[in-house]
Amino acid sequence: MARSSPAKKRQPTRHIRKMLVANRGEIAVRVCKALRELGIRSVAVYSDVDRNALHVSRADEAYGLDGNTSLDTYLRIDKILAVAARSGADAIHPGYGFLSENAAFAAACRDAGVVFVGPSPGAIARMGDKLQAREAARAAGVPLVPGSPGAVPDVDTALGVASELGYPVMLKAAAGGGGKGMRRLESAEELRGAFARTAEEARRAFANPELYLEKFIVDPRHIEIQVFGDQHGHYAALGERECTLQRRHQKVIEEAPSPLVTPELRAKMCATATSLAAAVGYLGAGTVEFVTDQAGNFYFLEMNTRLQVEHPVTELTTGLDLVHEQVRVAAGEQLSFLERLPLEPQGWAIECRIYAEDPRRDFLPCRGRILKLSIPYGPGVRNDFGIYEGYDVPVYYDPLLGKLAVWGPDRPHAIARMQRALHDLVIEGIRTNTAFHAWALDQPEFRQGNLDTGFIGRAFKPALLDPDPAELERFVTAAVIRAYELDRAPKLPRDHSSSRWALAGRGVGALDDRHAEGSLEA
Amino acid sequence: MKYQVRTQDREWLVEIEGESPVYVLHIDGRRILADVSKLGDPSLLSILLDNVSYLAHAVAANDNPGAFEVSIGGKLAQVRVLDELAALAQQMQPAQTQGRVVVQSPMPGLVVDVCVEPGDVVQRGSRLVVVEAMKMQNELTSEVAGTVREVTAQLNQAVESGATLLVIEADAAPKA
Repeated sequence: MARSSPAKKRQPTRHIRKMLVANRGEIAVRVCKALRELGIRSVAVYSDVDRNALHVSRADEAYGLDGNTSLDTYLRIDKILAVAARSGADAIHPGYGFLSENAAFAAACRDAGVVFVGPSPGAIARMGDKLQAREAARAAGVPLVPGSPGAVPDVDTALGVASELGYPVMLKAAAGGGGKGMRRLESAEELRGAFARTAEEARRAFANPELYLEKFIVDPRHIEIQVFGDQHGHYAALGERECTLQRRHQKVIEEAPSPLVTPELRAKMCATATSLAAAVGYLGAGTVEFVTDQAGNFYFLEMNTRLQVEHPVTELTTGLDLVHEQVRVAAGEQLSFLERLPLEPQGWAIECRIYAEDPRRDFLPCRGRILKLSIPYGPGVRNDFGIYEGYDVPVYYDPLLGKLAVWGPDRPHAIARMQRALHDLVIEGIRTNTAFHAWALDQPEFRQGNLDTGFIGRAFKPALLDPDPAELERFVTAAVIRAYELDRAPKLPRDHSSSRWALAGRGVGALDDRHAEGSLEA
Repeated sequence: MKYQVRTQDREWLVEIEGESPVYVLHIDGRRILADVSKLGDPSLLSILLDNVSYLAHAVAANDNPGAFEVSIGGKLAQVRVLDELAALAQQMQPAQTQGRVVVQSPMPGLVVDVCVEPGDVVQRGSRLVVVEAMKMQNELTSEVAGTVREVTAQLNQAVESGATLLVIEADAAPKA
C-alpha cells in the first residue's frame, strides 16, 4: 500500500525544538504528550476562560489569547502567529477543528517561516472545496457517488439531474463538510422547496452558496482510510476506521477494523486512498472518507486534511503514534513504518466520544463543574481526556470532554472491555452521554456489526436511558439516605433567594449540602 | 424516620434508621442494610446495599423541599421524598384550596413540557408543566384534584419566577 513518486522539491530535514499547539481540550493535551515524548518543548495557547484548562498545565509554556469566543481566540491567525514569534516556536500543530483545515493559516505559517504540521495550503484548499475534491478524486480514478458533474446553478438544473439519478438525493454545499450543509430529499417537490433555502444557508455558513447533487446511498456505512504522505514521495494507507454509528451526521462510536471490510476490500480501499494522496502530493496525516453500501461498493465522500478525532483506534491496531509520524513528516524525515507495509490491523479497537450533553434532552450541550471524575484505566483501556475533577466545562467550545478507547484481541472482547470501561467511568456534576454509549453497545445490531448511519435516529429514544424498574430501588435508597441525613443535620440559615437547583446547575449545589451538614459531623 | 417516596409514577413507603455509616431501611416491608461512604462530597455516595456496590450522586433541590435528582451509572431519576409530616400537609392542602388554583412557576426558567390542556381532569400529583432552570428539570404537579381551566404556559417559553402557568378549578368536594 506504499507508493513512491519521484521526490518533489523537498525541504531539507529541519530540527524542530519547540512546537505551538493551536488548539484546546483533549487534542491539545494529546499533542503535548507526544511532544514531551519526542523531546520537543510544547507551547499552549489559551482563551481567558481556559486559563484553568488541562492543556495549559500540560504544556511547557503557555500564552493567553485575550478573549473567549473561538473567533476571538483559537481562530485568530494573527494572535497565534504572534505567540509563535514571541515564544520562538519553529512549528505549529493545529490539532483538529479550529484552524486545522484553513489554507490561509497554513500559508500564513509558511510566510512566517514556521512549519505547519499538515499538508500544503494548496492541498488543504483543494480538498476543502467539495467540488474540487470530487474532481481530484475522479482524476485519480477514485469511485464517486453518482451525482452532478459540478455545481448545479439553479433549481431547474437540479431537478433535471435529480430525475436522472433517481430519488432520494443529497443536496450538498460545495464548501460544506463535517456533516454540515447537506439535505436528503425524497422527491422533486422536496427538492424544489429546499433548493433556495439550502443555498442561502450555505452562503451564510460557508460564504459560498454553490450546491451540488449526489444520489443518496440507502442504508449507507461510513468507512474511512487513514493515509500519510512524506516529503520523500512516500504515500501509505494505515487501514480503515468504521464510523457508521452517527447521530445527525456526527460520529459517536468508531472502531478499527470495520466488521464489513474483508482483507480484499481493505486492500482495494487502501490502494484507492493512497493513489488519491499521491495524486494531490499529500503531506502528513489525512483521511479519505468513503460511503459504502451494504454490498461493499465504496464511493469517495471527502478528504479531511488533518488528524481525526478518532485516530486512537488506528493507533491501537497498528501500534503507531500518528502524532509522532506527523512531526517526523513535518521535520522532513521519512515515515517510520515504510518497511512494515502493508499494515494489517492487530486485534480490535473501539472508541466512544464522551460529550457534555444530555441525551434525554435532544443531546443539548451542558455546562457545569465536574464534581467527581474517575477515568477508567487497566488492561487495554486508553483515555484521552481534557478535564479534571473540579474543572468548569465552559460554554464557548465543543462539548467533547474526551474519548475512551479500548483494545481487545477481537471484536467481542473489545465490546466487553468498552462496557467495563464505561461502567468504571464516573463523571458527576455535569450530564454526559455515557449511558447512551452503554445503550448503543448493548444493541443486537451493534453486536452483530450490522449498522447503517441511520441506526441511532431510528432506534434511540430518550426513555431508553431511564432506570429500569428493577434498578429504581437504588435511586430510591440513595434519595432517602440523603433526605434522612439532611433532615437530621441542624438547619443553618440559608440564602433563600437562590434556588438549590440553580446552585447545583452552577456546580455549587454540593457545597450547599456540605454547609448544611458541617456542624452535624463536627 | 418514615418517608413517602415517588419516582416514575411509582410510590414507596420507606423507613430508615441508624447512624452513619450504616443505615437500616425497610422498603415495602423488606429489610435492607445500607453501608454508605462519602466520596469527597456529601452528595456522592458509595452505597453497599446488602453488600451490592454502586455509586450514586443525589442532589437536593433548594426551593423544592423533598425533591432530589439522583444519577447512577449515567442514568437519572427525579425522586420525591416526603416525610410523614410533609406527606400529611400535602394531603391536607386540597381542603384549603377549593375554587380557582393558580399554578405559578417557582423559578425563572424555560417551559419544556406542557402536559395538560384546558378541560383536562387532573388528580392530585398529576404532571402539569415541566420548567427547566440551569439544565435541571422541575416537574410541577397538581396540588389539587380538579379541571384545567386556562393554560397560559407555552412550550419553549421563558418564564419568570411567579409567572402564571395555568389555572385549575378544584373539585368542590375534594377527596380526603
